[in-house]
Amino acid sequence: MRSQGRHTFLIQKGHYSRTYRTMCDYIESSHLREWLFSPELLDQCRKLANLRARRFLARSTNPSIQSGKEHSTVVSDNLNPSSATPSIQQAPTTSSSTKTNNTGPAVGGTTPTRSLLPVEYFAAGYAAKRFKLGIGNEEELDTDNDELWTSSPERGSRPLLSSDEEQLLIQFYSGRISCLIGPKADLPKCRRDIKVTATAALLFRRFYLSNSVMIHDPKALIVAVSYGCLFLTRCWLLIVDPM
Amino acid sequence: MNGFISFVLFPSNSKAAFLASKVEDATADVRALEEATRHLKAHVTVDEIIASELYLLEGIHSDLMCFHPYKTLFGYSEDLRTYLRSKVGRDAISFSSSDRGKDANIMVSGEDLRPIHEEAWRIVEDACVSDIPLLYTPGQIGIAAMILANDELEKSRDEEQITAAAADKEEQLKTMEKSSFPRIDLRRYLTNRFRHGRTEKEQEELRIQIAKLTVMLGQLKSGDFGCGNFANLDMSAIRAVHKKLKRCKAWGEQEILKVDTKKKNKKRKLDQEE
Repeated sequence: MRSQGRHTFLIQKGHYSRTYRTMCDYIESSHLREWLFSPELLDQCRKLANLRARRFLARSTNPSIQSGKEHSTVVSDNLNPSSATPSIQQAPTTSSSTKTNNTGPAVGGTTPTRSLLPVEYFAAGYAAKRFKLGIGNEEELDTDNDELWTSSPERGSRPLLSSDEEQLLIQFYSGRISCLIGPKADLPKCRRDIKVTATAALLFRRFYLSNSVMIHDPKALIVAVSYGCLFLTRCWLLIVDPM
Repeated sequence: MNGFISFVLFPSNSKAAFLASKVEDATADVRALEEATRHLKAHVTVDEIIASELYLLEGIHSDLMCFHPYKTLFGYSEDLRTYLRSKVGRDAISFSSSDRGKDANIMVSGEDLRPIHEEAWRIVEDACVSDIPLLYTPGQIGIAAMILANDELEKSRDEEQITAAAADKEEQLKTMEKSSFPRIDLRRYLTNRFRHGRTEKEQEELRIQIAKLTVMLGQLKSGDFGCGNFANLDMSAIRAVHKKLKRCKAWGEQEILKVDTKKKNKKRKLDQEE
């Protein structure tokens, strides 16, 4: 079911030329190429995201204990071979106060270093990689054991969420997006077209295919995704470089 | 049938991505969203929103391209109107009223298709906040929504006629017959319209796929497939999971750190005073 209204025009300036194509065709889009799954693959992505989050929480140490010392965040063992960059970034060791990501200047004289939270994106193109390249993560899922159901002792040995429990929260929060932004938003200032709600909901779900609610706050994410989608209400130009 | 898309091209640096998003005029202030979260009794600060935006961009691999089924509904409605005027299309129509059905020259107008379109729109609204867009294409969701909407409308109208007949309400029955609605066989439309370029096997696969999707869309009302649009979620279970999440979450650790350091400083002051 191809979309119509596709226009191509060439802009040429000296040796430099670029072809601009308006209204990207769905058939050639990354939406079709990378973000369509079967129910089994969807389930696999979610279980993998949950497993990696549990590994991080079960094996990593609490940065509050590591004050003044070299930071020792455990990098996830089985990185997706198709990922371009490692998922966890290690913060530089320093004993001086550092400005953190979410809050203001750190408190206290000897400020502990804080690593960035791991962000993964293995779900993008997961189905294609699985079927075309034969790259799968069944072995990683098979190594799941009972030890990874509680957080590390430094984090208080708390029980961790399962994939089904995470989905329950994601279902709840995705239903809240329409109250935040869209035609049925509670605040009149935030009332926008229905496509903003639809885009926000889709991007929210895509994010949590590769990541976990235990690592990233879903409440902050729904607001961030709503804010980001406000920029996406108009059609942009798709730049295709013929060279 | 132009799907709406937005695509931002930026270097791999996420800060540049954030900058690129600022190039276009913001259509709402971030503080409005902060106020909205306060209104929903779930306050999220501007700093948290901006930090989460960077995580979000990385987590979706900077791919913001989304197509939705809304535009496909317009496309199908227009195409259906044209199709139903054709010789092949007229076989797919029958009117509930015997009078209207006798005249073969009466066409299906846009107004006749409006109830189907509106009901399908509501179904697509629910589908867009579920897992369905991750499993099926926007075109498939659109046609399945229209088929389901058509079936539900026919069912509700039949029930109305039965109850009116049972209650012996002649006047009501007469008015219902005058404002008769067309019964459109959308499954036949699907078969005939998308037959070209497909083998028999492919056509059968498409029919099975759309039938399966139609059933799935009908189950969204009960909260299946992650649809959060309905109030029948088990709130006690969600509260329990939330409580568990508060204890094991990795975000917000700096807040705990701040509180601990404040307590330590207070204790130190008290010891010094003693």
